[in-house]
Amino acid sequence: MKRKKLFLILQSVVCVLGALALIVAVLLVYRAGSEAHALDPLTPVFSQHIVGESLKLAAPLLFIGLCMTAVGLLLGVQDEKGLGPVKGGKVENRAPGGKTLRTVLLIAAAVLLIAGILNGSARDVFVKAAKICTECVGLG
Amino acid sequence: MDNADVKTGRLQSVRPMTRKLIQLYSALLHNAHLRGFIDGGIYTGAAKYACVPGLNCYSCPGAVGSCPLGALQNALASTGHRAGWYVLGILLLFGTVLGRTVCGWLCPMGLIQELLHRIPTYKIKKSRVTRLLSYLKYVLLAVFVIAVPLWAGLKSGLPLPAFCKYICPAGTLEGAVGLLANERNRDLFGLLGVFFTRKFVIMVIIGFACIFCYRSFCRFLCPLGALYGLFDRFCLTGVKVDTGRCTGCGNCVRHCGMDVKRVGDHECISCGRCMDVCPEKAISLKAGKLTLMAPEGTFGEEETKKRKKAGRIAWAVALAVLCLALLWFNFLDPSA
Repeated sequence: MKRKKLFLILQSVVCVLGALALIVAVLLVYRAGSEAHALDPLTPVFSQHIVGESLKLAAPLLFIGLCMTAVGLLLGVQDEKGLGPVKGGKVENRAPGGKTLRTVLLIAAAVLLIAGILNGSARDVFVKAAKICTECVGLG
Repeated sequence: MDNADVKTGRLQSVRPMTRKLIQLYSALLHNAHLRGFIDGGIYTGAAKYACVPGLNCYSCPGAVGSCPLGALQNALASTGHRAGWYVLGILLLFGTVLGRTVCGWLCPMGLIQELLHRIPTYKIKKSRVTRLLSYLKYVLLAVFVIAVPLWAGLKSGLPLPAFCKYICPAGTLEGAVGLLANERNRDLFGLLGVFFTRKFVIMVIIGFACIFCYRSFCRFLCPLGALYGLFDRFCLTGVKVDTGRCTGCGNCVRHCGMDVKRVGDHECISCGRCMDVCPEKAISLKAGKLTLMAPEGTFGEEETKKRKKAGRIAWAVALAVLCLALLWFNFLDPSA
């Protein structure tokens, strides 16, 4: 039991440190890159080389974490107190009318889909999705 | 965390494995455009007219459909010049037919969270605090997904998908990391700045939280889960309780990883964990009147054989569909 507790503690610490290492790495890269960009606007804030170098700091921790995860999973180590006691109660029948509402909603969905295809909003979905969404990926 | 006999380490049923396989299948189907990871581009074919049910960034190189949340935000931002009936229809369809079964069985982000949670560390138990936090996703839905895009669209006419832009970890992980990992996209590095830094930090924090707290993003932050949760009372698919058999022991709620007050409420993702722990075998996964999954011993020998045969046929059809999808989206699609 003590070994299992120790393993769980170590793995938890590795995960915390790994997350911190990644966050610190990206913040350091951003800070250094911003300073370089301020001096020379042609210099990008992030570059492949700098990102690669910064990840080298976090890589050992991530590797250790991965190895420990593999070992832990193979040995079946887990926190057995994951579930807390919660009061239950007898489940009552659902309020009637659910079937009717569902039918109405399905008909409404079909009508909206057809209306959307006719008014061009389906095309809007396609146009947006067929290009790289720069906001979604953090390019601004 | 699956229904395991802790002392012997053996699984009591194959249901957790079946669900994991279906989640993997779904993630692969959501991202069948594997060529995108090799050539660094995204899929631009006609399948992107359709929204996928789960949270999957449409800027992921593998994504073959649109993200319903991203599409909703853009539709709201376009309200000034065109009503987004199409996206509303799609969400209504998914919500009514599947509800939060999407979260438990189909969403790629759900799979990622569960895999992260498998990392053996101390885990944070659910409590009143987590139950309270579970309402945060409704605030995110109201503010970042609905109000801000609508306001930006009406005020300036420019789309502002606020949730995608400021919070969504799927966009950072699937979109940004997926694209930047490819050598052909090294030019994109020049466009990274404060937005990416912020989103990356948020992604790491969410991923870290998922290790210690079951499905943290799903429970506390996902607006899509919040939206689907609104359909809990009348959606077609989900875990259903035979109220005649239920004795109110509370075992189902106690073993549930989500912040449910009762099985099948707006927090329930229909993962089916409660099916194995109910002593009265009162819980089953149903789609209307059709029983998709039920506890061991619910059906007779004959019926069980028929169901096993039907299951094998379903898997064969599913694998055929996946193979066809992989062929189509990577080699054959003329619209891509």
